[in-house]
Amino acid sequence: MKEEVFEQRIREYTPNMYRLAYGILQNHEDAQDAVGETILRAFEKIHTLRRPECFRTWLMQITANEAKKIYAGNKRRIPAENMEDLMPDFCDDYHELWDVVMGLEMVYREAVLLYFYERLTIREIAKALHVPEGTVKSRLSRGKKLLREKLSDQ
Amino acid sequence: MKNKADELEQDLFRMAQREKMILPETVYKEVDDKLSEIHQAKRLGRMTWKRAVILAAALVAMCSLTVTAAVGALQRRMEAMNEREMEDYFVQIYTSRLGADNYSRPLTDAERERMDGLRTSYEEEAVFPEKILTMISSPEEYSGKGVAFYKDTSTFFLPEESMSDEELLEVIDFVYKRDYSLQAMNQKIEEGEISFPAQQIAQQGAQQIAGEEAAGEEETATGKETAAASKGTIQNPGQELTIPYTGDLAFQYIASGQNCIYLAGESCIHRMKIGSSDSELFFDGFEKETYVNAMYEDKKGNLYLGLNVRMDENDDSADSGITIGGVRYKTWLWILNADREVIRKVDIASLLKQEYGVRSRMITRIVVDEQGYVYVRAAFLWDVLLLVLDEQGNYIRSVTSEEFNCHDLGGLGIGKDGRVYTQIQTKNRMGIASVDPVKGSLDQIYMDIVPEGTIMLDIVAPGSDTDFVFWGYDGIFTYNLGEDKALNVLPAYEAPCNWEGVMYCALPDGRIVFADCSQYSHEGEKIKSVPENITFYYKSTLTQG
Repeated sequence: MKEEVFEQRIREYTPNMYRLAYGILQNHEDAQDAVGETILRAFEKIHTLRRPECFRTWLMQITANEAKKIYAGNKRRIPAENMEDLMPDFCDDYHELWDVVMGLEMVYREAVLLYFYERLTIREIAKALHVPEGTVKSRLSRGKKLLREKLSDQ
Repeated sequence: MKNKADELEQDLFRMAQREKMILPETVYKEVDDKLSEIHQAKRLGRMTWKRAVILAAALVAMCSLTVTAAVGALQRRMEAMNEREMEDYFVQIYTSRLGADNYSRPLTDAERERMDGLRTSYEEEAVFPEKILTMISSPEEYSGKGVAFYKDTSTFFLPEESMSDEELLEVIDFVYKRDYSLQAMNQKIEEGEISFPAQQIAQQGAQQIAGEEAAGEEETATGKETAAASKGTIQNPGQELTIPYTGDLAFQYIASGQNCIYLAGESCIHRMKIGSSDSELFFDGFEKETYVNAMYEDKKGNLYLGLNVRMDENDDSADSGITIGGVRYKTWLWILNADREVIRKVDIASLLKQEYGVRSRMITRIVVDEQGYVYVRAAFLWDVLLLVLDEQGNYIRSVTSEEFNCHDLGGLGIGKDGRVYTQIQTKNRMGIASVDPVKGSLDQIYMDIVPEGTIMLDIVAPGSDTDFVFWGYDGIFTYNLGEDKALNVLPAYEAPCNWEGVMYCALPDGRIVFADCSQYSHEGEKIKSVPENITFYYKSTLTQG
């Protein structure tokens, strides 16, 4: 992949990277760091990407990993009661699903974000999260059940 | 009619799609900064040629705009290169078999920091090295002192001890000159000032191939393959290499010997020197079509082979064999001595029939301890972790556990304490355990050492600065006995190659070797790797920089 194409596609998928990183980390500073690290990591590893058409999926997998690395050593984790103040801005008032997803536990949240927002397949999510496909399926199933319950409560 | 679950899923997709997040401006600035950082190639670490091209452009821009004396000195240094010199750099880039630089060991954090500082001094204060980087024509030529560059694989050979400022500057200077030459030559070619040096590139490429062939003939002529196997080997646990395979074997399995790597193809075994690009025939004395599924070299140099040997169509023996692709195979354990003679053939199929009442299986793992006990793992043999045989191949007992089982491809190896360790698991837990061959049971057990959800652990081998190194679904782990958790030293997503389907083994110095094939050929039901599309990646598992 040529550098200009790489740059163009990074810019194209910046919103996706940030949304996924924010969804996992739940704060702007860390999400922004994760996006930055993802760009550097992607450039370092671009020669390993054999199928350019898989760039977006591959980038989302790296983003998930970088975000989880930050999450693992996170010192800026936000207490749940303050989360509302730190929600990102949306174009309109329509962010009902996002609000509910943010209340899920990490294991369900990351699977839901990758599946419903980033449209990765079960197999791609399994690879991104380094868990078996069966685990992804069960986390998604549980995540959907929780979403249904929470959405119906609203 | 769609069920409610489908409807919910579709609703969730629609809701997610409709939500449009507004990104803070600082995110776009971060993206700009990082892309700019890439362009400035701040991270020298593992530079790719693609990155070098970018760096070259930045260098030329700097040279054309700057006015300071120091930068002027740098510009003069670059322009002082004559056309021949620049062409050499240019040809070198085109004839290197790899598209990225490699280092014989990772730079330490201190060296990386000093290199960053020296690069600034080089660019802004005209601090240049006294000498130029030494070029070597083969890895064996490297004396272990100073810094040298092997152009065929674009490898910088670094001394074991910390590099001096002069040595670091030699590397910086080389990279700058190469980048400048690449950019300047490309510009001249584009402008029609010179033509693309196709002839020089072809000549250089031919010389490289001739050199490799000559080296191969020389080794064959000596007839001392065992000695050759270790000759020129750089045993350095930190050495990372990327080596395209130049041999001709379509292999499906690799295993580490004491000083070599064994490659198993169809009815054939090759051996290659550690760090070499080519392999040589080691054994092909199989009378029938044979698959090698497991290999282990003991301290005496004997090679143990787990085999599936094709059965004759009219073979109506009690064991009806294991069927693979419509063909019946029988399971054997063969032992070759260091002179490649078959010294024992153990009929594992009959053993399985007699002891467990089951048909042929596939031997997936073998290990031999210092007492001469032979441990064999057979696939699909439920409730039995391992078979234990004596040196003659006689069955002694099995190793079982009421609490744990193991993956058919779970790792098996010998620890630094000389004891045999095996991967073990329950439905939700994963770990390793030492084996007591006399009692036929597990001894010390270390569970929950890898992340939840890990499917299995393979390669249980000593690490360089740790008790063990493992291959796992999440990546490469190191582990010290007694610690709670294994350390993921190479996450799967940082691997230099595919993770699924790649062949791998652990060298005696603790490095992991991946053999990745990017193309396969299909012959009926058989899938074969295409040799020219195989690359070997040597990765360090050192936990200390």
